[in-house]
Amino acid sequence: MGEAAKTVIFEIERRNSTDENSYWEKFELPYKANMNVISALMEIRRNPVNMEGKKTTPVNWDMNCLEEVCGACSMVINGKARQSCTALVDQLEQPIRLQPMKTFPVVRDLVIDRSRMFDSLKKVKAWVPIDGTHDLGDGPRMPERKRQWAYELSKCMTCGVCLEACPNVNDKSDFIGAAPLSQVRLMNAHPTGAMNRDARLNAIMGEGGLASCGNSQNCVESCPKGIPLTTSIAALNRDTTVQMFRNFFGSDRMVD
Amino acid sequence: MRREAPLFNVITICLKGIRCLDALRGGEYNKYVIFLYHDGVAASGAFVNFSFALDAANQCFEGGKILDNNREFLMRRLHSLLGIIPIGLFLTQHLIVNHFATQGVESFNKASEFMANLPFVIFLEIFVIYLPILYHAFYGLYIAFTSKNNPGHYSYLRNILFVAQRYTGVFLVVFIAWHVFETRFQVAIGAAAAADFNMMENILSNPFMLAFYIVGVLAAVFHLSNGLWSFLVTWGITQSEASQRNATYFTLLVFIVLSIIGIRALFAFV
Repeated sequence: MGEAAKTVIFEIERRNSTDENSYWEKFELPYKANMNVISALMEIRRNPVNMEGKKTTPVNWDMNCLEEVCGACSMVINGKARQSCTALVDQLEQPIRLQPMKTFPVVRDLVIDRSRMFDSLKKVKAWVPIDGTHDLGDGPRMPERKRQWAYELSKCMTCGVCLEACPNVNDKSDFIGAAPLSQVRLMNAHPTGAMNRDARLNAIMGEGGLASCGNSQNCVESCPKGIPLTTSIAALNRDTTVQMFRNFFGSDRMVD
Repeated sequence: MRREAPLFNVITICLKGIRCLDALRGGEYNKYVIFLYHDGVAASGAFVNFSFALDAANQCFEGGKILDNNREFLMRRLHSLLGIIPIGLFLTQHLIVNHFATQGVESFNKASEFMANLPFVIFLEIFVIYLPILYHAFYGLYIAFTSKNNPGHYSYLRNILFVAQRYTGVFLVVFIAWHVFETRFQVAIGAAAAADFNMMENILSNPFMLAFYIVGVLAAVFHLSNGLWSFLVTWGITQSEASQRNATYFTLLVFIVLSIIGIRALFAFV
């Protein structure tokens, strides 16, 4: 090689527990070809010595699939929320700044608690209910073209990036964010799920639901899976407009 | 083949004294069928595990109150509607009437006198202007101050317009309050005979006030144009990316046209 050894500098916003104040710590690592943020964090874990040469605690982070389908390793990298597994060091400006997604409660260092997203999925009834205790046979068929379209919406991995990017998801508002809203559109598109579409629409018409969207559209720009979140929100806006009139003027049967 | 009917134990869960959930535990499958009740009617049932069932019940009921409270939804929709009808229409009409100033003093005074002497004018003002603007302003301030603006790291066009919508909104509360105080209020308390050409000429002879009014008109026109774009999304009219992009071009055109009308009128008084 002959060149001076290349290094990569990381600045990491750390904290020991949810209630403690955060502090910044710098790390300098030897550069390796094709390294990503996770391999760098693993290197820090192997040798937890900061830039001042002091031994420190290894940095905590969350990860699982390492191929951008599980959503566990989301963090704020150079100011933008994304998955750390697909954040290649070669494509990042240095020093690389890592922060937890502070829209969520920070457990420790870069580990966050995304429970609120799963609670939101329960709130909006993002499941297909089976209303019987015995086998009802096959459900209605879904057209293949519709299935292919719905598959795009089903790619959501509840990673939380859309919530972190959204200016309206914060501690002053109880907005549930784009991800669970888009799941309502997915469940309502399912032929069996559509039998309860009014229940989901009424749920997202509740506090912190659809109406809290301010159309900044950061969600769709940030979504790592390219889910058409803002189209979902606009489509749900139309559905809830109709549902609103149905609730007010309609019959007692809200589904049809 | 004969299938044996599973045995179920009915477990009723009450939260805050309201029967909200029946869980049937099937011995054979060791799964729970839950029924969530909405106004005493089973609203949904699903095969889930028990902790999920309890969580779901807790989510639906908080303090014995069903979370299907859609007050916020209706208030946001009303806010969006009032911004266009009647406030947006009023602003357009106001700027067009002002434009008479470019045709001379007589022409403007005639138009302004016609507007000021419409039949039932006080009711028109209250229901078409004052009440809608007050609601839009106060609820708008609440919306503006519950956002955590982040145009730095997420500097996408729509996000920048989102921030601008909030800044112009807050500025317009101040501008419109001052503008109404200086014009309509002075007429109402008898300090001025009429909101005529002379009044505006006096106000705008001060270069600071002229600048204030130029910024005010541009802010109002921007707020209306961008608000028209989000009105189309909020009511589910523009859904696809393409339709929303075309709506951006259309509202840009609205911004340019109304700005020219508004600014031309202002300079006619100078």
